[in-house]
Amino acid sequence: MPFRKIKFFSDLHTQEEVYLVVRKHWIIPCLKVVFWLILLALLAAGEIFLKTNYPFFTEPNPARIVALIRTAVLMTAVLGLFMTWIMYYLNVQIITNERIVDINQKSMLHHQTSELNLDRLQDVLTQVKGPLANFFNFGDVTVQTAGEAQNFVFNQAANPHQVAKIILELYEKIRVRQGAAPTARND
Amino acid sequence: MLTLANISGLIFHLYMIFLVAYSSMAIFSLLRFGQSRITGLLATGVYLALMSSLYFQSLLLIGKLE
Repeated sequence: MPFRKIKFFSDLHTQEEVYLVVRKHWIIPCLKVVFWLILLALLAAGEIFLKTNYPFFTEPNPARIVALIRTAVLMTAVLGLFMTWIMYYLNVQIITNERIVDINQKSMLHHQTSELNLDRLQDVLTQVKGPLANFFNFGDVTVQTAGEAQNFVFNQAANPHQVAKIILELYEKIRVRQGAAPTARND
Repeated sequence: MLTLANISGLIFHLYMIFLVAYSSMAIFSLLRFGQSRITGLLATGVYLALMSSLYFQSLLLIGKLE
């Protein structure tokens, strides 16, 4: 069954259906959120330290300046969190029954889209490395292509084995549709 | 006249120019490249609400400086 029937990108073919939308595992942006929270906690601790050890900072004007700096830092943190979410949301790989579309947002104004037809697929590798990746079940999925085309790498994707399985199943379907014998697999 | 309020306000607003420019690019990329316009607009709305509340809070602080 297709994952969703809505259009994830404008140039979806007429018979094309989206089967899977792959993003980085949620723990990756969460780690960045933790970084911002630690930074804010350190600044709050610094403010408390200043006010308790230096009475000058409790006087009206210095206290307002400190509050102004705190607000500016909060604004920066809000922007940082917003950027973290945007980069998580915009970096996406879409697997349809015909192709894999890799939408890569390298920076805010650097957007790159690459496609791979599933019939050019040669091998799918998954790599789950490290304790965090094993605990939360995320890892890299490398889609190797026939010929000189560049390999596709899904970095820190959630459920990498499931992603690889779906890609291979869709590839088998394409092979059957094209009249080729299904590939023998051991899974 | 160089008062504490003026100097603080100037420095703060120079920083605000950077924040606004950066935010504009972020919102542009979200609305231009995002898969869902509604999600983009919702996230932008929440972000702008948070930022404007912090901005008005800062303006109040600058106004109270003597």
